[in-house]
Amino acid sequence: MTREEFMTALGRYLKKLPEDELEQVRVYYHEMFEEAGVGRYDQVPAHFGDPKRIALEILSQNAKDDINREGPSTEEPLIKNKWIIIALGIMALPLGIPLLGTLLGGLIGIVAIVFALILTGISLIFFPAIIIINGSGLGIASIAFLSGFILLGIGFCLLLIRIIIIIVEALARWISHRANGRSGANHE
Amino acid sequence: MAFPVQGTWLDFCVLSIIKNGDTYGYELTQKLMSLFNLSESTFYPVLRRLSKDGELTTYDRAFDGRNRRYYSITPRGLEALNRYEYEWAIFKNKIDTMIGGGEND
Repeated sequence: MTREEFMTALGRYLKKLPEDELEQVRVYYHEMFEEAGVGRYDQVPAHFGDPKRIALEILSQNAKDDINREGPSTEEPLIKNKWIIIALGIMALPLGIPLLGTLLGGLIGIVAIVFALILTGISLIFFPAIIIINGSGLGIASIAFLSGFILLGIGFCLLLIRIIIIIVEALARWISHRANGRSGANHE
Repeated sequence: MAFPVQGTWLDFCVLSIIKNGDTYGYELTQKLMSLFNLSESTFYPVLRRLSKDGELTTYDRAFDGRNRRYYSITPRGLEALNRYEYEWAIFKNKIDTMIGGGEND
């Protein structure tokens, strides 16, 4: 094997090495060959060894270095992180509980408003109706006045139903969109 | 030779030679290869590791139109060498005791 072939083989076996490290290997062997008086096209003396062996030696040394560097640093942060998360969770409780309370209170408020609106609509329909049915001797003007309330109640209820339908539809769309988004993310 | 020269042993040998004066790569390999049955391929990984660990430093000198990379020992390298010498003395004593004729008997 000539010096040139030796260097080519070494470069091929070490192509996984970072470029700057490979350059260091080349510089070293270049110097060795120059000192030993081995020309570019001369045969490489046997004691220089096999390029494949040299490459393996360097790569295994690199692998050992990587293990030594990673060994202690990969497991510890994992444990530390877990404890930090638990600690943060505990520390967040004083803030988390009132926050949860606020959200729950808001939800109850919204439900109560919706209930009140529904009751208002129903009241507007039923109470004038009851008065008309029970009330004998009511004047035309009074009946017309109360009927107006009933019509107002019906309109109110229809409006309310429409609003609820719009809200439910929007909510359904939002939920399905989120679900699609999440399953889409899982596929990636 | 029946006893392989590798691993820590090689570190010990390389540091011992460089302690006596800055040495360039070829000179170092020639010295060690004249003592032990070693291949040229052994030295690059050793020199690289010792340099990485900060036990050796390098500098380049031009010689006869080419470059020579010199290796010199650092305080850290001297520390390691002291440790090896100490360990070696203990080990040598144990071997001497084992094969008989040790100072203990």
